[in-house]
Amino acid sequence: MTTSADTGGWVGRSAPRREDARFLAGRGRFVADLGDAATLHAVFVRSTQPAARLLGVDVSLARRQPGVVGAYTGADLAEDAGPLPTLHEPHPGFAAATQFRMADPALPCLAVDEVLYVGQPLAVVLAHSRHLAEDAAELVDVRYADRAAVTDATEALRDDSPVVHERLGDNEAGRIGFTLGDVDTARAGAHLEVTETYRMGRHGAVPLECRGVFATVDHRRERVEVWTSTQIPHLVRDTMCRVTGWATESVRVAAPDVGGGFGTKANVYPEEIIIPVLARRLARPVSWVEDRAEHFLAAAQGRDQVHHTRLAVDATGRILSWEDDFVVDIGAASLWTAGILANTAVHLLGPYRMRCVRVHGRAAFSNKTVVAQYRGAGRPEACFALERSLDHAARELGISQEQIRRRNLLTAADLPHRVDLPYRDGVPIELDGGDYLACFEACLDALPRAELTRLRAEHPELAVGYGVANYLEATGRGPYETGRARLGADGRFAVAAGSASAGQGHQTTLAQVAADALGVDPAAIAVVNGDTDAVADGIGTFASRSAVLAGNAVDQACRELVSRARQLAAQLLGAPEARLRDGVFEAAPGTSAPGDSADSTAGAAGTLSWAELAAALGPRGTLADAPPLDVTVRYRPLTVTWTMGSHAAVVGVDRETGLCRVLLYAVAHEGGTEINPMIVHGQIVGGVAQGIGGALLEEFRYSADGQPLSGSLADYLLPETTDLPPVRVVARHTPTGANPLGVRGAGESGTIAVYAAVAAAVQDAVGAHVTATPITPAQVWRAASREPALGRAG
Amino acid sequence: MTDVRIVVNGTPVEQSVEPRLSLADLLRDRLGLTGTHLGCEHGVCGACSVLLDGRSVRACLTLAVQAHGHRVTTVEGLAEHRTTRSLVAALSAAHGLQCGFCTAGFLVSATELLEESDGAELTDRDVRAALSGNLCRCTGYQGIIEAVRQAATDSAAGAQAADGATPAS
Amino acid sequence: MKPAPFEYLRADSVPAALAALAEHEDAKVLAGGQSLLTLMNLRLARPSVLVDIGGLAELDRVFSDADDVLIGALVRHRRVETDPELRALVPLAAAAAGHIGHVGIRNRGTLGGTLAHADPAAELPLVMVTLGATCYLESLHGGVRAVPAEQFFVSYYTSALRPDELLTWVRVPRVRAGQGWGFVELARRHGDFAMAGAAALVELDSLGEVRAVRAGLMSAGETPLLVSGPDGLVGETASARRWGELATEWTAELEFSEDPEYARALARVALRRALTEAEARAESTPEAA
Repeated sequence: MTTSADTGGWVGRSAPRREDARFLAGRGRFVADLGDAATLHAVFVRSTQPAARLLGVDVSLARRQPGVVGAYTGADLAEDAGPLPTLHEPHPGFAAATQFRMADPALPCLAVDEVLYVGQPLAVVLAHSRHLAEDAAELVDVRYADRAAVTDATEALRDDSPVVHERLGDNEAGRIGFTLGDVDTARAGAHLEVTETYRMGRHGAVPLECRGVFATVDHRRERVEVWTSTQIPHLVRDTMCRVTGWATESVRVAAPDVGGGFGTKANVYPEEIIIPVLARRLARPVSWVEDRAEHFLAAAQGRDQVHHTRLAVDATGRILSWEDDFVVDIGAASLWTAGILANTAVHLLGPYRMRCVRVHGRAAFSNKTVVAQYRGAGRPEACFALERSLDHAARELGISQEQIRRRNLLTAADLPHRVDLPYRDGVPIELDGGDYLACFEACLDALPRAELTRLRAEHPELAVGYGVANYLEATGRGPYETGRARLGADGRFAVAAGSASAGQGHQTTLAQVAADALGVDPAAIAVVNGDTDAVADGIGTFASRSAVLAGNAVDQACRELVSRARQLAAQLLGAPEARLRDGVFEAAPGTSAPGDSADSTAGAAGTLSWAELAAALGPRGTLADAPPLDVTVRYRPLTVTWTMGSHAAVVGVDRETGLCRVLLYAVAHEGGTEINPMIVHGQIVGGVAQGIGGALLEEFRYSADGQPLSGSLADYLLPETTDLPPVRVVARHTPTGANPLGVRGAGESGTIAVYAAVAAAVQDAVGAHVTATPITPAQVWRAASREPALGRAG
Repeated sequence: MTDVRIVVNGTPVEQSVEPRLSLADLLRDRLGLTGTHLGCEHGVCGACSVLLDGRSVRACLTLAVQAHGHRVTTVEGLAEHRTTRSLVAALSAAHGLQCGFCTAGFLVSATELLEESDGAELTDRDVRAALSGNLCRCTGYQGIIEAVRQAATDSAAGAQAADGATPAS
Repeated sequence: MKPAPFEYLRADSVPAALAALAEHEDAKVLAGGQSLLTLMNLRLARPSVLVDIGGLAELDRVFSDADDVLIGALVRHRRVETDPELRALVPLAAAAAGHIGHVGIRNRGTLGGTLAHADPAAELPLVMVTLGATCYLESLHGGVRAVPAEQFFVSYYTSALRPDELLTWVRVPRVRAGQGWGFVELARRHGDFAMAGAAALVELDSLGEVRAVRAGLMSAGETPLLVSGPDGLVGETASARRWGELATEWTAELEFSEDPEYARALARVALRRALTEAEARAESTPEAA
């Protein structure tokens, strides 16, 4: 736990969450809770084919159904909204250094001429109830001319593949590559080379709350108000205005309580555009609540990468060269292709000493559901490829998983570590950390191999194995985040930020940051985020950025507010200068005492409270002509804040069935200042849970001709209480100057290395080379029975 | 349309409903009790759990007409239960919720567990097995399990105190 | 995911339920609704009429005599799982019931419902076949007929129930002295439908030799399968090796559409483990000398 030296000590405290009261009382306000009897309910008609020309979409019968208010095709609404633009492009410096290229899929909001994935929306029905809208939606007649579907990313990149987006000519959605050092020479001198193909199956966020949009027109304010279950309300607003042509002031976008996002809600969706369009068109409130079946077809998915790797080491296991040629299947479209490619490519560096690296990556279009950034967003895939390769080399050399990592981890002497490559923000990479090797050792201390003895005795029916993995993580990427602090009339504060919480507790953490800067109790601070009314611009919450960016933005805004307040307080105190001490203003020492120009607003003994200052700024106060204390700041970090961590997993395998259970897990991570250690801990444990799900259980499966096979929570297996182990977390406080609060992001830290650690543990248990996730019981059973190589069939 | 009479959180309610209206939709849309959440509508996630005559059920797999003549308790009505205060306090203290979407369902299921176990101490395994029908995507369950065990301990101590015995420290 | 519209009839007696089923050809019976309403929410099932028998308290009862337990179709899984009388009399059923989904499902799901649903991956259909239970089917025009469990399950989701029939009671042989039971379910997660599963009854005589064996499998075919031959091990002393051999023999002819090698291995493992468990229990509940 850390406490800022010169603050009131709220940062660093595991303060109880403000959010809890309403959720525990059943008083949350999620998007499905909004609206009333007048609200119209929308149902989207979605493609049942993965690739087809649309010969016709006939809504005439649907329109005539009882309770139906309207039914619209893509053609009907084509003028109202253009195609969705990508949300992210890398800095030109990065793009040049990595020969980055990207295609623009430009998917329309509602399909008009063609459909490119099962689940793509192509019509929408509005009725007085969801029930009636579903009834009518079944009567929309869609005629398709099927074409060959592209379902394998590697095949998609072949010259003879069918093309997903005809106008683009091929299926390359993006490419990236870089080389460090002289790979070929380094490799030539290697003692050992290991090559392998690694696959991470398609899976994703699957939050407990599906998506949803509620839009209503405010005629007095002449604008549409859009509540959407999103992590990025400002980007949704910006995109909405861009594709509709609406003026920014005519749109408000806000996130209500959001039931988990994990990246799938850090996306802009066609539904988020169409629902407001309909609300405007009909001048009626319109609600769309995604159901789980839709979610599995139409909410952005993740992972789905294949890596062709070659690691060369010397006789002691020291890395000489590392090469990876990877392909990402980004589905029919992605607004985050650049982010996924860049994250994967850069994080292949790992927290290791590596001088010679050659990375080449491509993203391919396929006729599968759209893809966005899911917790880790490329880092887990990169980590899996690298860590598994290290294990492979270790086995060939006859050394342990631990030994090969000790040989290569960056130590205190190596840090900060410069890499001859810019990060996606264009700034040269410099890994700022404490001691990566020591972090690894701390993880091994938290969950030592020696515990296997006890665990094996407790589970004699299982083969128990131990696996470790390390990850590197860039957090807190800019370009900026907005923070705002305002002194209210009663001396309490309103703080706002561009972040949007989906469970990370920003209402609590940002109040803690503000409390320290303002010298007051967090209870005196009301935090609003996720709303374009609260701050006019912002980016949002994803990529482990909000503690760094929103935290520092709020901190800066509060400090700026304090700075201005001090000037006003000085006036009121009749002193040349005032300072804020323990939440109260007083004349700065060495300046003239009050009394000469005594002001009636100065409190006893020459002090001034925030409430008194607020009163002075009020209409009857002595400073009534002064502008209100309301500060908005855009915090721009210089670059990302790096962090790393180590994971250790103990997995028990039933050899006779291949069923695997994670028995115990540990994470040690180089964290910075933790605004609320309890919340950071919760993020890590939750992240591990999702990693275990992805490693062992979760997959979006598709048939060979592009039909989704994972249509419900009965097919797509989420970890239950009985699937997850206790997780030990060691936070190794590693101060950083990368941002004023010294925070390192942690939202994805729990997930990134799980796949590799679990795979290593399974391998340790049954002695077979795990090269793909999800690690299925059938594969493990085969390996335990006889075969040495697991997962080649993918 | 069918008439149903249901006692919801202790209050008799009369509604005229389409047979296909789920109990969840009746509670949420007709009665404004939006604390019960719909996460899947096919009975897997448990977010919609309510007590029907004191037993946890999935409100998405119960028709409103099936609840006719019965008692329903939602998260909004749990304050009546002896164990609720310590359960709520324990969940917050143990950081057993993040986004809050699954929380109502867990409160209902945990209330049933605590009542059925009637003051007994609960192991980690007991709690995990009993709550396996409630999914959480945020917390990894650790805080939830800890909280329910704590509430069970508090309940045992409370029961002992009520008996006049010295509570275990 | 809202169901398609349907007509709703609430039966206030068994005869009323039978009359409704006789009148409406397309009617489906609504008991606990855990399987039916799931399918209806997904619009995979669209009955035009639902006959709600949930209020028929007369079918939510249990009777026992010297040999059998008569369990009403509306008895909930949670009761089968936890009721002390049922746990004592039909422990195999009680143990299996604990694997059905999760508590919230078991609070609603009924014995009659799960048997009528006839999913070969479900627990209680397997148990009823293994125990040699008898299902009582009633209709307005046909009266009552008794169908042995082994004949009740016809194919995937298809039972011997005629469209106008209601399953009202199940007669289940009670556990005898000297008889041990075993139940093994192999699933990806707690409460999931089984990848493979087995139920076994082993009866030992006073010398500890096998007198009778009955065993069945879930998820091994279109229906729960009774796989034990009539002579399996009778007169022999059991051993882990012999159970393994029997399990191999009894699963050798099974056909699976997906990954048959693995599926058969799972069936074999589940069966062997269930037989082993059953024997162990038989040894600890010896027949009176």
